[in-house]
Amino acid sequence: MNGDLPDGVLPDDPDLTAAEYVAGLLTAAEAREVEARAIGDPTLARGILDWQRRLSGLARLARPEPPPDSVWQRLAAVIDPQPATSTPAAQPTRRRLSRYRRRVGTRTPDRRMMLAHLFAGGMIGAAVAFAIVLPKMAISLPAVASLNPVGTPVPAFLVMVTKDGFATIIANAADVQPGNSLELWGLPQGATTPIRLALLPTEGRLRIPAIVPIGTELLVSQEPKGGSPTGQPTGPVVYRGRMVKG
Amino acid sequence: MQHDEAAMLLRRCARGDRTAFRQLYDAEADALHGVARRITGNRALAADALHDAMLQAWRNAAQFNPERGSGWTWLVSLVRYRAIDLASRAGRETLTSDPPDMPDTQPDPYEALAQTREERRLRHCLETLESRPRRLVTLAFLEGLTHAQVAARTGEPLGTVKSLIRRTLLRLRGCMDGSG
Repeated sequence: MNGDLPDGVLPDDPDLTAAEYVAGLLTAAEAREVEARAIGDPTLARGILDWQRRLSGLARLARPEPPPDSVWQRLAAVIDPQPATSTPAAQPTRRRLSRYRRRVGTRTPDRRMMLAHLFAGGMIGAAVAFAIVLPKMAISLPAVASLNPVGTPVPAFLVMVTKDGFATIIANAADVQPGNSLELWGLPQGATTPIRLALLPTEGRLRIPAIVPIGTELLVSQEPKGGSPTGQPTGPVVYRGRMVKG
Repeated sequence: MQHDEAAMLLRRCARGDRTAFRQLYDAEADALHGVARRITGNRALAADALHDAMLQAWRNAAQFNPERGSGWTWLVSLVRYRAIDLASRAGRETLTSDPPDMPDTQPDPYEALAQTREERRLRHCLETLESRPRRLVTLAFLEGLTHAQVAARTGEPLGTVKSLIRRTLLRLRGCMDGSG
C-alpha cells in the first residue's frame, strides 16, 4: 500500500490503518479486511474508536438537512408495529412460507432453551463501532429460519438473512394476546444474555439490518405492549426456530 | 465533562424507552441526515442510511459506552458506515455533487466545531494545518472518499495525495492527543 509513497515519508504505523478506515479513505474491500482484523485485534479496534472520537466533529461541517417523514414512520413501524388492518399480502406470504417449508423443512421444537450464535446490531463495521468483543466465526449467508409456535410444526414467521446484511421477516397470522407485543430475540452461542432484534407484527413484512448466521436459534417472546420494559425477555416464548442454510 | 444529551438519551433507549428514542431522533436526525446526504449525494440513499443507523442505535443502545466516546461520535460512526456502504454499492463517484472545497468557502468554516471540548480541540488543530492538507482530510471525511477518489477529484497523483493525507492525519493525532 505504501509503494507509491516517497521514501521515508511515513512510518508503517498500524494506527494509520485505523485512521484511514475511519476517515473513509479505504476501498470497500480494504475496509472489510480491516473490520475482519479488528475483531481479533484489540489494538486496531481501540485505534478505530480513538479515531472516531478524534474525527467525528468533522461531521458537524455537513449542512443539517431534515430527513423525509418516511424515515421516522419506518422506524416507528419497526420499534412499535401496529397490527395490520388488512392482509393484501397474506396469500403471497403463505405461498412463500409453503415454498420455504419445503426447502427448509419444519423442525420439532427443542424442549430446552437452546440458543445459538448471532450477530445482533447488524454489520460488522457497526460492531467495531460498538467495540464489543466478537468471537471469530465464519458467517455463511443467505440463511433462513421458520419460527413455529412452541409445540407445533406450523410456521408463523419466516426469517431470511441475505449477504447485504439485512433480515427480512414475514409474519403470517401470528397470535398475540390483546394488549401484548411479540418481540424477537437471539443469543450468541454459549452466551447467556439474549439480544433484542425487533418487535414483530402479526402479519406482513419487516426488514431490519442484521446478520444472523446459520445455526442461530431465534425466539419470539410475548411482552407487554411496546416490548420488554427491561431490554430482556420477560414473557413466555411463543415461537422459536433456527437459522439454516438458505 | 460537558453534558452529553445524546448519551443520556441512548442510556434511556437501552432500557426500552421509546420516548427517549423519539427525542434522540428529533435532536440528531437533521444533522445525521446531512452527514449521510453529503456522503451519498442522494436523497433516497441518505434516508436509508439514517433509517438503518437509527434502528441500529435503538437496538444496540445498551452497547453504547460513553467512556469510549460521545453519543454524537457513536451515532456519526453508525450513519457514516451505512452511508459509505450504500454509496459504495451504488457507485458513489457518480453521486456526489457538492463542491470539494465547501468547508473553506465560508467565512469561518469550522465555527460549527464548538459543542464539546473534543470539537473545540479539533477546530484548533485543523487551524494549525495548512489550507490544502486540511481541505483534503475534510473532503475525504465529509464525502467518505477513498484516496483514489480524492486524487481524481483534485487532479493530483495518488501517491502524493495518500502521502499528504497520511501526514496530515498523524499531525492531527499529535495535536489532538496533546503532543502537537
